[in-house]
Amino acid sequence: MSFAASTILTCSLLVAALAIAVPADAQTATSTFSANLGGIAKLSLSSNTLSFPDADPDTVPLVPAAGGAITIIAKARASLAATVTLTVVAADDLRSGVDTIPASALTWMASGAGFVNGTVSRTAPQVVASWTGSGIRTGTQSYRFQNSWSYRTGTYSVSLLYTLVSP
Amino acid sequence: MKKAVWSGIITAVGMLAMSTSVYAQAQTATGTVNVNANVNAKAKLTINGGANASITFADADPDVLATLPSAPLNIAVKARTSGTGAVTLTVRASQDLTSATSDTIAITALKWTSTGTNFAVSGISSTGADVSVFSATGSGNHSGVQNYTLDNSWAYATGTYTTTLTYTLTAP
Repeated sequence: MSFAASTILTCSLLVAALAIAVPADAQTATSTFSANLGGIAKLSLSSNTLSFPDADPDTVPLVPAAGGAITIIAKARASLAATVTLTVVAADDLRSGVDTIPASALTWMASGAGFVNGTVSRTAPQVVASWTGSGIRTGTQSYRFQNSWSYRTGTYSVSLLYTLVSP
Repeated sequence: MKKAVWSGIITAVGMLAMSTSVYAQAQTATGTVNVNANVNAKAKLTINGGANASITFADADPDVLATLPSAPLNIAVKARTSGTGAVTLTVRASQDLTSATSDTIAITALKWTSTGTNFAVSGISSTGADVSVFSATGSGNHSGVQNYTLDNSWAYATGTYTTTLTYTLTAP
């Protein structure tokens, strides 16, 4: 029970006690109990790394991540009509020294209620999933890397930031 | 006493209002995934869509055709390298054109012209050195067409002459 709720209960009982002290008559007393359930958001990712192996662009135009799909568990407490949204945005393009590959070379296929397919962007957060109201939602993201002969050799890195918002 | 009760109620209402405003704020949770993608050097060469091709020169009167034409070779070069990596395609003949009876035509009678960005405009076959067909810097797809010709001559002994041309694509 929150501090606010316990304070209300204390005050209400005080009112009731005072009422009882009044000479016996037809008296009523009301105790109101309330619990504030605030919004909470919690996000869990099954892995914090994605690795794409080298591959021939002719035979593997879309390289799947070596570790398989990422499982996402999103827990949110919100009002009945509130939209809970999970987004992802890249911190930068994929970078290897001065060489870059656009973040949009990363795409994903999704599974799970509320989860959608998408393409990574470094400029605008992309919706991974959205739901209405409270609950625990689980889904997967299977990332793929767009392969190309035009890339320069190197090990390219980028960070993806996930944000779960429960209004 | 009444004042104390009312003070308590007001305090409670006030705290409730304050706590409600706190919980009305959006709650967020974040996570991070670090991505690594490996892009290694690669080279792929196809001639007429495959690894091996053949060209044939039909017999002709040397007075009418001083050079014998052949069907074009479509060359596709795919290379993945560093930004400054030199991609080269060379060709070398295994031997002079040689017949079953060991008659020969000098390999220098086998010449070509090419079209396509970064393809050598022309060349003369050699058995002693790699002859450049294509050169470029950096990764990418390239395509060109090579048209071989064979110098015709009354001096050649009759026969079917053959040689093998080996193409080598290098992407460091």
